[in-house]
Amino acid sequence: MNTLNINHLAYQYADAQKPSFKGVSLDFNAGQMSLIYSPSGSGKSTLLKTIAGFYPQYNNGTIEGFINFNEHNLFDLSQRELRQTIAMMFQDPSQQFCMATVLDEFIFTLENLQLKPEDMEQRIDEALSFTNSIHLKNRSFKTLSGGEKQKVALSIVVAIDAPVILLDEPFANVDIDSRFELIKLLNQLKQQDKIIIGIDHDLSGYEHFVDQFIGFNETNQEFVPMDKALVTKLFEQFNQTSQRPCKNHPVGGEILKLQSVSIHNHDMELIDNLTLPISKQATTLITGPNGCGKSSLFKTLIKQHQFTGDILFNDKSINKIRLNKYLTQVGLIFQESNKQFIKITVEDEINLSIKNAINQFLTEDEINHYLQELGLADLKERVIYSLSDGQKKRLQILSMVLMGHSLLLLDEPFNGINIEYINVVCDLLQQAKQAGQTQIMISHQTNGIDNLIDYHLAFENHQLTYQEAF
Amino acid sequence: MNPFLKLLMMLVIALEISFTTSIQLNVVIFAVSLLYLIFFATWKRILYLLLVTLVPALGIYFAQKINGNYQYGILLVTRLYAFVSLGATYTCKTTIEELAASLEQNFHVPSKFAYGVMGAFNLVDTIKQEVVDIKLAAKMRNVHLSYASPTLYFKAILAAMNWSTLLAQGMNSHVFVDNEARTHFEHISIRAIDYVILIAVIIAIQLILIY
Amino acid sequence: MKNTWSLRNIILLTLISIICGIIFFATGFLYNALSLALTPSGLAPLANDLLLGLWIMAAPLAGFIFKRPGAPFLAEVIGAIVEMFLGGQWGVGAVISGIEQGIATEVGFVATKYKHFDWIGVAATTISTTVLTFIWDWFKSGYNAYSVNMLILLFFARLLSIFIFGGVLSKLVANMLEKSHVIK
Repeated sequence: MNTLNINHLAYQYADAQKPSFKGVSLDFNAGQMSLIYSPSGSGKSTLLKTIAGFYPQYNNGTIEGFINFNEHNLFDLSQRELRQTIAMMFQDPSQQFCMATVLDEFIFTLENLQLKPEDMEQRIDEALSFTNSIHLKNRSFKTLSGGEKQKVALSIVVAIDAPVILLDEPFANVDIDSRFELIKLLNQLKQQDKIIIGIDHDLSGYEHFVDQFIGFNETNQEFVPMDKALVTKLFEQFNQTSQRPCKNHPVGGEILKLQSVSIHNHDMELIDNLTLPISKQATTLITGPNGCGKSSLFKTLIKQHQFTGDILFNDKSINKIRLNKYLTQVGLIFQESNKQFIKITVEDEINLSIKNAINQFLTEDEINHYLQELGLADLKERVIYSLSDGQKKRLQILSMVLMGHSLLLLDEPFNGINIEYINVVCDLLQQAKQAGQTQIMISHQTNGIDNLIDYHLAFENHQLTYQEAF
Repeated sequence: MNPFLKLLMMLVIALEISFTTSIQLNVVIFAVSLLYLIFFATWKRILYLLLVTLVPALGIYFAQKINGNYQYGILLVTRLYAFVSLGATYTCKTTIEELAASLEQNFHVPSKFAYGVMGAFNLVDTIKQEVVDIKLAAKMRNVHLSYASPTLYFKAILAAMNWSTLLAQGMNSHVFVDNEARTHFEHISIRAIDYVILIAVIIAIQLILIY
Repeated sequence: MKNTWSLRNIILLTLISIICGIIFFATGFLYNALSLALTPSGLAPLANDLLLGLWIMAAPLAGFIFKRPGAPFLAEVIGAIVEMFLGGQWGVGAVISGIEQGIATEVGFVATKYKHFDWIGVAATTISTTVLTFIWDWFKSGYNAYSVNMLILLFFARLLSIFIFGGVLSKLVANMLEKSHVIK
């Protein structure tokens, strides 16, 4: 039976003050699926890339400890042996394909495996049949949905036939049905004695298939297996239907009106004939499973996605407002912090917002107060790109709030933000709201934001409906 | 014809017409290439090439007529069209995959060059989107980035650094490893006829030049 | 040279050419407008020379980022091959220009022994790129037939463009990358 053992593993990024994690010892066995479940920014992705042997190869960090596969040190394997031992599915489907079509990517992989050309067809067909995707064989990746791409990625993992399979949040851009289907397929691979290790911050679909849950211990900076009681509690929390009440219909003035809006993405219907008002000077939370169309809705709202029907912003069709002007009214906090920044140092980034602000929601004293509270005051001289994920996120939110958009869209703003800062971010947003801002937020994290949320919209059956609670 | 030898042939012809002054040769190349395109390319593509080249063609013609030599203007216009039509004949029948495979198999270019370039080529849409997003993010901060803004390039290169690392990892995980042997599903060969075509075409061009 | 180019760096080099291509093509309307406006006075080639710096920018940029012999040349040639397959109008012709322009920039860095990535490097590559590409166009684009005044105008337009885009802009971008600690 294959085993993968991690012994006192530690990893530190080159420009970090402390290790991402240290003293991590974990055991993984054949026929087991393990899930590393911890908040965004806790270093689980770093752990996975270290196990995969990508770190420190691809960044100049330092590693300590051992990773043993069947009692042999993984670091002693040649690159080729390593890649045939550990297969990986990535979060972003476009990073794992270097060819344009499914068939070519398969051939590329099998050539790397040095398979004989005459054996390739059969291996490809078997692997694609396993994921019920034989119909995708001659398709170009450009035409595939997120779910289809990940099915192809899994088929290639099957074709490589490595004993260890790593999953780097592979369902982030996948619709809920594909997610369940992929998890079931992974379960079948598990039964073929594979070692499967995944990371995720979303538990849906995993409950009956995962054998070992691993969490992050913040004080020791250590990843440790969770005991049964903790796991049960976790799922109870996760499956809990919400009970924090909120108004189930908008009251007061409306900033946005969606009129018979439909949105499609790659033939897939995301929103079907939706008519919806959104209240001015309020915070509306949008929830829904991955891949249901939340991000596409935001793209639509910043005029970057096609739609049918009409969307009125302050009673004017957004099609009739010039983009340059529109984006000084409507801002988006990107999920990926790096995309947001314009300058190089923290101070310059903040000063740019102060200088270019459309509305001054905060006074100078208040700005200094939030810089302090968000832990940014001492980082003013620092280069943004050397900050931790959490620091970047806090800086990103502050610089966008300072711009004073009348409508601010927030795509998962709490990713990577530790619990002690969530209150500060909520205060900041609350203050901007009182000064006149409307906020629409996509967030899977709903703990600690009770006081901020006024309305809750849930995605279901290609519709968004106001809920009585969140 | 072998994809790299074909490219080589095109390069030799293009080089030759860059340095010779035969209107006749340019017209022959243009005519032959156009005929080839009519068979193998779409009308839309041919029309696009002919029209889009009109701007520089007119520009050069009038520049020579007014500030240079009128005869020379005609030569340059025919040269321009020979260039464009010749260039288009290559990509209408040869794909980047074929060229990469030929470079790897026949000319021993390291596979990481062949596949690294191809992987990046398939990221073009992603990078285009990054450039769009950078401009959007700037607009939201009341900053307008133009083609001459260092920030635009800086941010795009930061994104490219991230993407190059991600894609390299993705390719590694599909068992692509530097300096390792690979098998080939499709064997690309150089046949004797390829050399014959290459030499015949080059001789034909010299003959047209002489007469 | 074999080991200096890792898979990641080859991808990055190609992406840098692609970025320059994408941004350059967005200025296509500028070239067309400028070119058409100058056509009646017979000065259309001026449009070409004024924008040449943007067109060749991948080479100096790659030189400043990778600081290795071959980077400028490869960036131009790979960029041209990619452009050919993306359906650019010049097809194989772009590859020839790519080779010629790549060598032109490479010469500037070689002249400074690949030790000057400062303003001396900017000056050296600006001069080498301007002079060598001008000689090339002397033959290929029929510059030899133009009047002396026209030639002087074209030469200085080209020098200016290559200095501003290939020199100053590339150097500023490299400075920003250095300041962010992503390159050394």
